Amino acid sequence: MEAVPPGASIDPADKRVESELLAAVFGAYKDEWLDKDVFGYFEEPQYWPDLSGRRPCVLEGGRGTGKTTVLRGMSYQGQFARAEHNIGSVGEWKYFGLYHKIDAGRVTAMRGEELEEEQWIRLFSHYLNLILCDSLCGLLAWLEQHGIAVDLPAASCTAVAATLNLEPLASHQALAGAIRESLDHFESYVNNVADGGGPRLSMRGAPVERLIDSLREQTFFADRSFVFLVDEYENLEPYQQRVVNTLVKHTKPGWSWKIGVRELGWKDTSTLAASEWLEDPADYRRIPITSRFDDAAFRTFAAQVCSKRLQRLWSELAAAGREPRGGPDLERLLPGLSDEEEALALGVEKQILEVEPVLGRVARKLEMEAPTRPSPLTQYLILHWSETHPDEGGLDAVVEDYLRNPEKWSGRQVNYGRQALFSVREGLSGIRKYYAGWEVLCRLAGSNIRYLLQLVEQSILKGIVAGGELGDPVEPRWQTVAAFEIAEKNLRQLEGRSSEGAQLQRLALGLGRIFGELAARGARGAPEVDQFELGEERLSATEEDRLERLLREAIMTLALVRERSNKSQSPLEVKGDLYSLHPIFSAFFTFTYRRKRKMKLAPSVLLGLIDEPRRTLAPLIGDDPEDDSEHRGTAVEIAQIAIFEDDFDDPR
Amino acid sequence: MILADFPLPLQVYPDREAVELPAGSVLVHREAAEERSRAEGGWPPQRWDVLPIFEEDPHDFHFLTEDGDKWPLRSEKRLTEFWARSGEGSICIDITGISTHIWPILVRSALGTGRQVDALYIEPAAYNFRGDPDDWALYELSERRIGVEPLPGFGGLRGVPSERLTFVALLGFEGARIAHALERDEIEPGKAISIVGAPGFRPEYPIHTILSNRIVLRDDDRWQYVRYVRANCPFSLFRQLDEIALSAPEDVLRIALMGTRPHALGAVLFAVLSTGRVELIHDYPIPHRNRTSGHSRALLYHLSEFAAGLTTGPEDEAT
Repeated sequence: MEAVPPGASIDPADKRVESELLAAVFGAYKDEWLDKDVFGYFEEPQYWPDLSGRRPCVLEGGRGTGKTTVLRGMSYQGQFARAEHNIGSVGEWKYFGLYHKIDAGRVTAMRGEELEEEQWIRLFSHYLNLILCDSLCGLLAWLEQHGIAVDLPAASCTAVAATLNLEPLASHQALAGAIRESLDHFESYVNNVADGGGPRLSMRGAPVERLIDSLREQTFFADRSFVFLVDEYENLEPYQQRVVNTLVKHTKPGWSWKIGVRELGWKDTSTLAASEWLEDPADYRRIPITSRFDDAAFRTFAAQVCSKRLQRLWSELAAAGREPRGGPDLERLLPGLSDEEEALALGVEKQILEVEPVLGRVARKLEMEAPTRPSPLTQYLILHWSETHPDEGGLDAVVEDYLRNPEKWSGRQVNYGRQALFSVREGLSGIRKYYAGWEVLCRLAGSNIRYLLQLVEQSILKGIVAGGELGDPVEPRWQTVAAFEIAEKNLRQLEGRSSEGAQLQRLALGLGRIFGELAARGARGAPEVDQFELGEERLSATEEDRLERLLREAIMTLALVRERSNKSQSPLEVKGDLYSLHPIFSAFFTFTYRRKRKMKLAPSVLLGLIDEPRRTLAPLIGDDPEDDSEHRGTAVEIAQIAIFEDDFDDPR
Repeated sequence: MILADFPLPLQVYPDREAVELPAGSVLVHREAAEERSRAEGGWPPQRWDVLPIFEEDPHDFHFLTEDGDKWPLRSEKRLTEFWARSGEGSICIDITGISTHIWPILVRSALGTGRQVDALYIEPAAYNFRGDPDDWALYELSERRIGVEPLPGFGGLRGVPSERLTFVALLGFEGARIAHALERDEIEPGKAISIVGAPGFRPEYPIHTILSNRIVLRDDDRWQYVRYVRANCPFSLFRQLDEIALSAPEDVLRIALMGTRPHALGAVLFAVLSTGRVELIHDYPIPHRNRTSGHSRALLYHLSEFAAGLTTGPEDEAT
């Protein structure tokens, strides 16, 4: 990042410097783009200690949860950068991490009808040997570049070469060259795989083991290990995962594996041996990132990540003579609203003018002492309750109930107070619900650090653009606008996140409309419904398969998040789970970001949201349906069952 | 590489019926659902042989001929045999109806025969808009996509790190397709160059392309890295790719074929004829039956003539 020259003449009203620096510090939120900076911003997550040690680990999480940062931070390049490029630190390293991102644009070339799977397995095993040996040779070259020469004896190089079916080689440099040449030939072979012939193949893992043994015979590597950091494991074909699983299962001394994979991206946990699987914890440690982060843990980690960037921003601006007011404190910069404050911000005061006189009048009628003036939100809830429950006799009767049953109303406020906020500005333009405050933004991000960086950057930017100064607290409305725009951006991007993206986008749009509508009903419905489970319904086998595929894709692309309802089922099974739209979308559709209550949705309704969104949504969200009585009846029934069967007074 | 100057070796005909091929040519053709790929009245001059090919599953690695023979895509030997069976005259590959995972390998193998090789492309009269105005996408030309994969025969398996990839996105009317490829590869904005077909088949098409890809282009300011190449000219695309390759000589060029077929043809020519490392990827779309209507101009590209016009420049000799 290019700093502004100290003492440069800058127009104080010109916010471009702040905006550009903000974008530079927060904007490059994909680890792949930060390049060298990735390590400058590195923060050890809470689960970092679990990753250390020889045991293989599988780091599981959606896009943007920080898998790549962690794996790259463990690579030798990452270790070096985190040691502030002190080459002397290399001598203290206990392991050398070798990062490798699985490129779907490459590995998917190794499939097809020309060969039996057994033959592809042998080919891929050989390819993996070449790639892993190449990365070990890359480490030797890197050390050499940094003044640490580790010479591998010619005998060792020849031994490794023999396992790869290469000619004798005198040095590791020659070995590296021969491996690259083999990769070239291998590529040509796969591109004409039906012609036969092909390279002489190596045994699965043998060259890697031989090379690592040879390296560990050298004093420099004695008592140190090598860790293969395999990222984007989901890009491997199932048979390819079985090959790597087999190597992980039979990990040899001196090397280990740390694997990064998207949730549900580990398609096959078996090995190449019959009836043999990788098992947690016997063979590896599974680290599901999202469930390792409860809200507080994520907030702590997120604060470390964001603070480091803010400190960088503050010091850059200070160097340019534009030091922001106040410190880079996230809670101060991103203030939230209490429910009462939000009620006022939404304008309840204009709506509750009639409540207080009624309270006084009813209290006198009941010969009670005049009650302490209830808060605006409570007054609004009383008014809203009377409007949404006409059978309860109107405002006077509801006020009487309020005065006579304070305990009941205390519970009602807990259950419906926040829900009522969603209805204050129903049908009006402008902000209908605030999404503001550091804690709320963390909840919207849903343990996703990439989303959080987007939210923080855009909130601060909106504050500046609206005329504020960098360093001033960002008004809740600008945080809300930022949350809305980030939600919309990610919703639009859903289409590109999968080959099924268009369907996932329609599903998210449909579900968002439903949850938004349920929220806007306020006290007419269950409070804060934002989860669903699938109702019992018989589908054709084709529809079942499609539904399963779409749910998996929706989870993998973060359209949906799931909560396991049956812990005993396989992690790959999805249909029995509880789902919600990712909380990042809540600001766009205006529903709660807190996981509170569930509804049931028939599988056919879910598919209907994709195939016939208008027809399916009309009865669910109260629009006038055009015609489709059969479908409509089912959907309405399901919606009603869902709403009325839940136990509203038992928030989870 | 030094590229021949204009005139580019292509001919434009008002419609398919006006196309002239050399006598004794073989025209490799596939009839697809789109009207423009069907020659209901036959090929008027009929001075050449039409060799129809057939496809089975959209994800197969082969095609079929009328006699039921199966021709694997990843077999140089078998494709050489395929061309040998078609006589010794010039070859014309009609890329209008053949799926994009099949015709590129035919182009490459045909160029290897030493015969005159042309490619034929029929522009549609119109692409059909999406029915539902509520949707964010302007067009929905494919029912679904199988997934982004290397094009058979054009995959790269060398150990090049991802930071040494330059991604070239040939943009079409379905923004989600390129968005998926970019998302999957997580390419840094400055390393992802987008190509818009402009001028387009019709004057309004470039803006439709921009609108259809607005999400991808707006994100991370990718609009800064857009280049414009005539939509129906593979040779202009070749020239553009050559410029891109020269600007990043150490990089592998990964080209996503999701725009016009003539652009895809330019990318295939570049992969076949350039000395740099090129990978071609595609997403195997299942086209909507009514994605286009009618047919318009016919373009005949003289590929072997173009290849013969390339000469090696001093830079290449030095390497």
